[in-house]
Amino acid sequence: MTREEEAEIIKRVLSGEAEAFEPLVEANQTLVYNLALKMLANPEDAYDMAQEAFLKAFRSLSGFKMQSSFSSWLYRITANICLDFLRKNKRRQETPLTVSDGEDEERELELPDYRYNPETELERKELRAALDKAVAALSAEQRSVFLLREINGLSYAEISSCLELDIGTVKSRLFRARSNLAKLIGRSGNFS
Amino acid sequence: MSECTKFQELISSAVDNEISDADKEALEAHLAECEACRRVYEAFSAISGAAADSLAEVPKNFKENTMSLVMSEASRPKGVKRFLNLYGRYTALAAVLAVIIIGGKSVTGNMFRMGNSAPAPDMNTASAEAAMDGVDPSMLSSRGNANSIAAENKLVELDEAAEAENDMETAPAAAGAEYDYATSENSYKSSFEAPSFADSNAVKKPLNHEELGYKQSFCAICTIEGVLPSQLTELDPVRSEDGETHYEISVELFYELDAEGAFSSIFYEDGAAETALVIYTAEP
Repeated sequence: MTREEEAEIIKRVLSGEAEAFEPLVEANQTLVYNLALKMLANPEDAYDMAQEAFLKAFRSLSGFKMQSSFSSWLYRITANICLDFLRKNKRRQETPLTVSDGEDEERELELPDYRYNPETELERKELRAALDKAVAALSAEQRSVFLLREINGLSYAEISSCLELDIGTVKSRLFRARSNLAKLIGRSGNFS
Repeated sequence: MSECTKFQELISSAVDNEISDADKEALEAHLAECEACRRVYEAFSAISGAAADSLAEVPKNFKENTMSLVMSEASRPKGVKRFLNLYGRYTALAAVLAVIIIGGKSVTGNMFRMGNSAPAPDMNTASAEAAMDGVDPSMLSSRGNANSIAAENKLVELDEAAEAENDMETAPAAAGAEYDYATSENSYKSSFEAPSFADSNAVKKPLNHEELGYKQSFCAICTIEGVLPSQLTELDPVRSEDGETHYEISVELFYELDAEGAFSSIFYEDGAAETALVIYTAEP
């Protein structure tokens, strides 16, 4: 969907044609749902929070300034809803293997000689499964930055604006997220 | 930070194409010589590829359900205060809270029961609330019975939060006892006293060493009124005039006296200074 098409739809919705919102749901539901799913690691919660993100976007549509794309504005809403949800529901979350955040660590990452580039479909499937599990083990802060980059394809500047972080923090959180993922995936022995 | 650490952070940016040409060149040169960093590059690239490749399908009814809620939202008269948020399982909780707020104490006694024996919220009440609010009760949940479980969990959470809040009061310590908020509420309220701000002894203007005629700065300038602490009675004052006696003390003694609550006011000056100044007056 082009920016012009988005703008046209938004204009119609704001003038009272609520049903015109549907193409925006259609165009964005996969990435909004997947962002929520991988943030929360629970399909039911993800369903609810993704729905809430669209509702919130609908309600505050008059506040959308069109400085970013509608999608990145929507991902920002989704990420923040999920982060709030995680903060409020720490007890309900399954805490899988915890990764020490190591914000103070400045040692270089040493990875064993695993073949990270899977060649067969089975290996690709195994890597995806290992990755999903590893993403769920990241801290919420690292997970959100990683997902906005890898699932939603946002630039560093867009992520910085979404999560209200400076770009340096975005870069270092992404690096730590990837380091932790690489360690977790290697540890799971899929590639030994 | 070692060279490899620096380059590995660059690898992360390179995978995202968010790296300057100069940095890219430097990184490529380093990767040509460093196997460890090549492995990192390989790992980060593979992770990136796998992540992009792993999108789940959206549940089939998602768009329709979402649009139903949107249309319902759109048809709601503006300006009506809403207790209910129209999303999934939390609607029941909102309904329960609405009932508590409206229903008052008689409901509270039943609802806040310690442990897991909280009854599932009455969905008829929630439906009635929804109907009052102009919302189709069937909209309350697209998720089936998950609501009552979630609401029950929430009641336990609320219960624990309320317990923590009233902890200093008469809350019974024994688990499983029924906590009667009706009687504890008043005692909680009466124990709170607003602080008095009419403190006529407070020194309002910050003091500094220049104003007082000293050449060197102090880590802190403090005042003591009334009783001179025993640690100071043996010390020679640096100045004594106009009913004020000044003592120069070490930082250690300053902390010691502060811990004892000896000072009536403290003005922090120069954190690097090694002495503090005490201004003692016999009477305020």
